[in-house]
Amino acid sequence: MVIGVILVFAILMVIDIPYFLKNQNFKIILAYSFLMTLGLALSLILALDISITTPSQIIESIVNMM
Amino acid sequence: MPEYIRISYIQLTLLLTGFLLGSSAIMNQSDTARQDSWLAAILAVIAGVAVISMNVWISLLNPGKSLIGILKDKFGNVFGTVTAVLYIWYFIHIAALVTRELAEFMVTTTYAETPIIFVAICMVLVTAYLVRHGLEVIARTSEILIPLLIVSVIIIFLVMINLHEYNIENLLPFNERGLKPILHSSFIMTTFPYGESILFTMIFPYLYHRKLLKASILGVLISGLLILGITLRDLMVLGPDLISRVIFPPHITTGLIPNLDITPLVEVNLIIAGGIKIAICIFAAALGIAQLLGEHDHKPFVVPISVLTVVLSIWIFDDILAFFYWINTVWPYYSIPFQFVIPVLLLLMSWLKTKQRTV
Repeated sequence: MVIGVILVFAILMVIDIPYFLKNQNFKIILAYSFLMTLGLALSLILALDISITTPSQIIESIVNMM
Repeated sequence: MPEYIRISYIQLTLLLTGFLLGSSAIMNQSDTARQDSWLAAILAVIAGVAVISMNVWISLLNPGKSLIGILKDKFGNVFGTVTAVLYIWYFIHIAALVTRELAEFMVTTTYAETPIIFVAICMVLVTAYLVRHGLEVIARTSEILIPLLIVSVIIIFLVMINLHEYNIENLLPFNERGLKPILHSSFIMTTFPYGESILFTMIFPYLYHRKLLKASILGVLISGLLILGITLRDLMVLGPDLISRVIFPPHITTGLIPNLDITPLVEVNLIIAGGIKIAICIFAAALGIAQLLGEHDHKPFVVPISVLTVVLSIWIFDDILAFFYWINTVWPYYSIPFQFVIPVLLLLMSWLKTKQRTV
């Protein structure tokens, strides 16, 4: 499962590489890498079935505090 | 100044109709109002017209600027950027919620053996392809598909009339529990979907036509009329007691038709409107990130945002009951700053600035 997730992300990044080679913009590459790393990390957490606090729980506790 | 995208008056109306119908076409958002939910739907449309007028007005007072630009302009670079990042999160969150609802509907009603993640990936994959090709393609797609959605809602409505399935007594007694549940229900319906039209402030600056307000109000009225029709249909066929017990009332309503399976029409409604809504949310989030970085091209961010949408849609809720509980109890209050507080502040600040210039 973990290998499958990494493979999917590798394929997705390969699709976008031609764009980055054409427009070498450091800011875009940095933002893209950050978002993809975040996506990969969350996907791996889901794939490994690790239980962590979800954004909904955090939002719910903030709303309940008000 | 942004490059104007060629979107016609009717395309904007249909885009907004599809966006607002989104997942509302299959959900029961007004069970607190019970038999008076039709009145809550009408009140929500009135509030929706006010909300979209406010959003259009913000754009008209800040020509050529999207929500991100307006936030940075009005709140300053630091606080404006922080608010803009929160809005981008909000757009991705809406996309994830719609994806989850759509996937849950498919898995619950039709593809019982299919993993929910597979349905979510398929849906987001198609919408990501659409978003990568730009807003004009999303608008043209909605121009072709949204009329089909409107026709399918009317067909289901008329088939039920022909079968004499409607029971007008399901709407009585009127105002049994007072005005409070009706107002609460209309508030929920205002935040989901009408308040979400704040997202269109990312799109309005790219459209050049004088009928922006008229087209937007027409979109709200068409979607409001369809939501009212769906609410009345489900209420008169199923009754308030049954509606409060089922997850997807339209699916049960269409299932009551003997010798004719028009359930796929409900699925078509969801795929079309839900798909358009996800596409607009991903587009707005990708464009928002690009603008925050001082760029105009949204394309590099479509894939990462689509990935985050899928992951978030699976991660945020354990099951469909938690999803519906959260949507009805947390979502309306969580949305208040994004849909009302910040837009009202932006409108006031923009209006005062324009007034100062004219004096």
